[in-house]
Amino acid sequence: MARWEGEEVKVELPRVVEAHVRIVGGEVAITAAPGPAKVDAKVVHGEPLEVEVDGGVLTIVHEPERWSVGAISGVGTFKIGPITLGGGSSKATRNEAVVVLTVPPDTPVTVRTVSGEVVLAGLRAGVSLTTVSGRITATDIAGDVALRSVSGVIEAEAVDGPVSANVVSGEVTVTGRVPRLTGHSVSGDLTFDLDTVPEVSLSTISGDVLLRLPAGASLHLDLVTMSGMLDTAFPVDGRHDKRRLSGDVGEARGAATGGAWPSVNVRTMSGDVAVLREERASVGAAGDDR
Amino acid sequence: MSPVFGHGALRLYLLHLLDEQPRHGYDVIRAVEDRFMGMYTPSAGTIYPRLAALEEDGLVEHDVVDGRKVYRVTDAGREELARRREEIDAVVADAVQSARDLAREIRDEVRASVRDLRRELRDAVKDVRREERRATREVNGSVRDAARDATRDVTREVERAGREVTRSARDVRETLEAEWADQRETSRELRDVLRSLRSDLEAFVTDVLAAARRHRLDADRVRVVREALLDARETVIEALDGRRTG
Repeated sequence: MARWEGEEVKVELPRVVEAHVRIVGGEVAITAAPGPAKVDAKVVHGEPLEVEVDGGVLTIVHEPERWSVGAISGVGTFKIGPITLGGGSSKATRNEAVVVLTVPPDTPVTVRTVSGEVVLAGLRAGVSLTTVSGRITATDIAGDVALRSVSGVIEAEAVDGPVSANVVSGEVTVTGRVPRLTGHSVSGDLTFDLDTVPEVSLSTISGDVLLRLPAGASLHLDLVTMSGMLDTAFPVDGRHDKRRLSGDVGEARGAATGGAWPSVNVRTMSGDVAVLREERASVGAAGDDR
Repeated sequence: MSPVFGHGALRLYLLHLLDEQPRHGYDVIRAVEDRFMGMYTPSAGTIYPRLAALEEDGLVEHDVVDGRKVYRVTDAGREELARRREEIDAVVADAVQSARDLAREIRDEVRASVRDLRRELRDAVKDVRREERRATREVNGSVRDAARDATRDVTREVERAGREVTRSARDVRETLEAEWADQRETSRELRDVLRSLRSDLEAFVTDVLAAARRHRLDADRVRVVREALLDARETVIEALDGRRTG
């Protein structure tokens, strides 16, 4: 085990297998490149930060001690109580750091921030991102992708893997190849532009859901709302009234429910739901030389 | 029109790379990796959609060479590059020096493309809703037309049937009236006949009684007269019944 503590930590680490970053405010930038992991972490305001490596597990922490790590894990279930954590210590709220980290692409990564800005690119072994009001921007992410936010905006592009997104008022936008998609939001909009048709389970209270799928998609569709609008660009064999748009699309028409085709389920109270069709020819790399 | 408006530096940089020389997707990825100082290799999932979008906007086009798409800049793409020369120069000159620069560039790029995407999808939703309204109107319209046609057909049918009923009613009435008229005619004739018969009979009675007064009537003569009256009565009734007397 190795440990560094200070206003600024710059270090290269040869064998990192996992990375965790927890800061209050500031910036976190994690990119992927082969070779040793490179840490470049700097305090902007507040206490010294800590960098630790234990058995290949890298942990970078800059947060008030009294903030337990699990404090905002309740975001997914919409427990809004813990998010008032800024009021606990004036020192804590001012804690701010810039963490720039480069890790090998096959490194699983978790990031937790309160108000910080997070940017990730090229990580291929899954990411778990949690923020209270911070903004998360990610591109080129593979593996299990878990996104949690209270009011922060989450944007993830070119994702290749199952996605779960839980937000209260933050907006979520995800594009890519996603085999399974689950999401919950209170008032935040959920927007997905996907190259594949995943198993989808989404729910919101007042947030809108916008989902675009490939033109040739086959699926069982079930959209339910109390007072939102339901729309789809796909021809659907089934029921379409004010509260429910339900039926089979593409080759799933006439097939048994729960069969080989994915189910796309969306529930809202007052949020609008639209399932769109990608009219443009496939932009995937399938036919291209890699 | 400003096709690249709102897009990030990467998109512009891709255009610049393809202006240098035609490249296939993998070449483009390598060139972007060079720009990022080897700190990050963009995946096909980030590069190909941007190439496709540039192509959609008419700024690049591709040929298939040995089964691979080779992209090159179009005239419109060159015009766009000329128009945005300063921005391109800035992008090319601002070499990424650190992972932090890289992250910022990626962040700006992703945000710009997400913003574009959200706008595109919102527009698409509007289109879908407009299309649905139009389809609904069309369906409603055709239902209304069908209803109107049906109403017209039914009305026409009812009117026709009505006219037929009226006509047959008139026929019936006319027939009945004709019959009644016949009957009236018949009874009038009958009455006339009966009236003339009655006057004949009255004349007959007057003549017979006058002849009887002129003569003294003994029992034999009265008997003969009565037998003649009975015979006459029989003959007349047989004639009225249509029977012939032998």
